[in-house]
Amino acid sequence: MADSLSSRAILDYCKRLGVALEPFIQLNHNAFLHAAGAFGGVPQRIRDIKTDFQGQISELLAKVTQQGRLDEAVSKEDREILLQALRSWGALDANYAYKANLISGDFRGYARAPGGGLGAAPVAGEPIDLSDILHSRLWRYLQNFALHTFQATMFQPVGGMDMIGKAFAREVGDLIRFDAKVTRIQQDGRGVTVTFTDLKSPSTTQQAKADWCVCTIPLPILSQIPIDVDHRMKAAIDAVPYTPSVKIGLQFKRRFWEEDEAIYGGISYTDLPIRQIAYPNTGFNGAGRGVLLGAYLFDGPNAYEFTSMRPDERVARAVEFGARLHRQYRTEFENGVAVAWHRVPFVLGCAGNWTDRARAAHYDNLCRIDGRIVLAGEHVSYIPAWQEGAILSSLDAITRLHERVLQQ
Amino acid sequence: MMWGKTNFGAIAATMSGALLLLSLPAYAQGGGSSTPGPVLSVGPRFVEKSGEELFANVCQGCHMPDGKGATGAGAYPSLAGNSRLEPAGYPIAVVINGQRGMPSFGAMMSDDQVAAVVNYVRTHIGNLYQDAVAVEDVRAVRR
Repeated sequence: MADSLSSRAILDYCKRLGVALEPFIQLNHNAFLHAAGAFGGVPQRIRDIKTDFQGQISELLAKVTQQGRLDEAVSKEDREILLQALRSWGALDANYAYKANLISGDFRGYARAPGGGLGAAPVAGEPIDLSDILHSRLWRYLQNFALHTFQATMFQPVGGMDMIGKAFAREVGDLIRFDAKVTRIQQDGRGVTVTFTDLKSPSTTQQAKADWCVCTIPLPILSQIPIDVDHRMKAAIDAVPYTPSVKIGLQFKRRFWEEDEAIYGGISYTDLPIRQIAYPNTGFNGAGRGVLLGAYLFDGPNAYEFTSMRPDERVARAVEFGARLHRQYRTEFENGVAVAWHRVPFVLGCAGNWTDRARAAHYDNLCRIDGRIVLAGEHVSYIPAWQEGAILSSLDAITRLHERVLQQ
Repeated sequence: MMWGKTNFGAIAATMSGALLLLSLPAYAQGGGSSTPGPVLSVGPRFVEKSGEELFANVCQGCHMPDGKGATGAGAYPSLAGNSRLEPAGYPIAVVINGQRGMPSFGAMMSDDQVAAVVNYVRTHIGNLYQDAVAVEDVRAVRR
């Protein structure tokens, strides 16, 4: 669903392969933050939480600055600039207070927005009390918009993520052999032999031979295949289970999030098991049906629990939870699909779940060229779950392999 | 798809914050909701108590509802009538520490829960091992 601007390698391939990109919206100020136990379960606009949190923290900081309690840390000259900055950044008034007025209204919006004609003057809205924001814990979602990996501009391929895979297949399609289930990987001083069965005629085994092997088989699969590598690489292959994850797509009769709530793209976050609702970043203002991402679970108990459900149960629960953010779910829902990565037969999980301890013990051994075999994939990177990690690991693997070949 | 982007890291990073949050016991079925379904956990640890519940909400995600596993490019082993479950220390250790593709559950389950799910698997789906696992057995493996 998207590549961050920090994904320079994947962007380069998209350019070379002619994969059209469009913006992926990570932060929509009009989307919701929601906690089941806060604000009576009523979802709050990201704009309000972000602005009111920032404004009231600025007010507190301005207060202690004026009281001289930061004098040891801030010089006299800097103190005046700091106060100016807090007033600007926090939408404070001339007395360094964050209040319901048209100054804060310029940032948080209004109880009644400025309009045209008679009686169109804006009316300020009342800020949400800092204590309520603190206790709601909604502030913890704000880092989803601040982390480097999720900063604007983010992209998604037009037509879906698999447009990238399809573009690669178009270039090298004659080299791909489908339906080949690898059952053994052997090597000696002269080359590598991979034994496999064609799933369309599984009774006979076949072999492919080559001088070198770049193996991208996911580790939950590779750990089950006999492979001639030394014990250190084998231990590394066996050391990385994959993260559980579930995504659920929901189709609705209309784009009510746009029509009723003015949410155009972006993501709402919740502490319910569905974790988030991600709205389509295309087809804005369209009439007729709309599809959104109704749940995105990963790590932790809920991801396993949803994996254990039947697909129709997963969809039903996603609709039930989502209706607490959008009551329209009850009347507008039509259909849904659910994917649990641990049920995907060719990967058995979502992405390499490296712990710091496993990385310290095994990562370098997983990257090493072992005789004539080298591994590549997101699991052989420091950015698991991202295509960028897979591409960077493959570029590194073939670069090192090339050097090795030239030395021979 | 996940392989593309995701908020994976972002929310993973907030997980520790999530621990502080909720004193709610679980997202139980009912409670105003219309859809019946299994109890869901709140926070980073499973709330299911019985072995049957833990099997249905955790193990069957991979080992499948009948416990017989599945085969694709790789395989999930069958737990049904499985002689490797005879020495109880083995399934206890695998649940706690994980093994190859199987994630570790030691941090997400209490000693009681590990004992409950191991006892369930060792006395159901074609297994009839009578020597029940005690919490002390789990504690010993954890060390």
